[in-house]
Amino acid sequence: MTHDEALTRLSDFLYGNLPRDEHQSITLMLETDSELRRAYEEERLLDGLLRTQEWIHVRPDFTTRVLAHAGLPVPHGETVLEGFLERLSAYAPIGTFAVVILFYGQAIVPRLWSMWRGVLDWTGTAIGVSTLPTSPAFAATSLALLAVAVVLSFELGRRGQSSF
Amino acid sequence: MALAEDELLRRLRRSDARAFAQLVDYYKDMVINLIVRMRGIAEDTEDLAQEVFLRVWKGLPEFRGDAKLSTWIYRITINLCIAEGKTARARAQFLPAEDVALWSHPSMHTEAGNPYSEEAPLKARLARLIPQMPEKYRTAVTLYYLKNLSYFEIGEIMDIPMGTVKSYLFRGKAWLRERLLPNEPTVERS
Repeated sequence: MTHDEALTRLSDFLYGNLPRDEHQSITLMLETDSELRRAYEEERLLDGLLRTQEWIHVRPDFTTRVLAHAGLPVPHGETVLEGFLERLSAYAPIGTFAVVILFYGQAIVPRLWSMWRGVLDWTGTAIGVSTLPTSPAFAATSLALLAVAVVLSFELGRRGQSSF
Repeated sequence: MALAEDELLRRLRRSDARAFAQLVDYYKDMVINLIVRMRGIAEDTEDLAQEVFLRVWKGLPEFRGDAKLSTWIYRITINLCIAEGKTARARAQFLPAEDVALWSHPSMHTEAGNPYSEEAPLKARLARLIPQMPEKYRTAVTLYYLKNLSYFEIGEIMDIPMGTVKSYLFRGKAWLRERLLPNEPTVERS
């Protein structure tokens, strides 16, 4: 690596963003090249200064004034009931699903159960094992675990995409 | 504090004032600091920040969600700073950073730094230099160091490729170094 190439890579060197061979050759050059060493120290100094600039806070009533300028009512603090309703509305789809299951479970469960038995029988035949557990307790547990896994994966995926 | 962006957007699109208040609360310091780094501290800094949020509010129906909400807000802030800088170039005389009155603007206060540290004069000179940088270098350097944004995010805000962001950062720092540390002896820091 030439002196000029090393100069252009000092920022990446500072953050350890270089491949190992380039990192090592700059490390070696720094021991002998005084101009490069000086540039590196300047890079470190400037970087530190840029990262630690003053942080300014606005007045606490800034938000209120922005809302007033936008012609919006200034919201009061959220009441317990409002908070509860807001959270409730966020869970409305899954709540609806739960209600449907509660009301129509009696009709749906036997059909799901026979489908589940069919799947287990088919899987057992396919892999040559005839002793797969088929008890209602096993089926209920595995279906519940499956449902929890699906809900969790959707929820985690949603949060991963939307949080910032 | 982290906000669930899609939930917040859903409420904002319903013109929920509380959601807008939440958004302003979350971004106000970031927007103010972005403006200050881009233009230096000026009397109208808060007015400009207010204008940013009004544009966000008015622009929400057209916001399609292609970019992150934060990216969109930073883009509005940068564009407003640049437009304001162009219209007010004649009067764009930034106050010297070492002027004590500068930091005691009634609407803002800074986090307490040590004014007697060795680096304090350099920091003051840096604060004065940044608003004088060429616009594209200033934008890249400000976004990179203010919020630790990635090259990709800066590219999205400035609408340029990542390679160009890297180049602007490199040249921007070189520009600053030339003016800030022209004959500075090497500083050995542990």
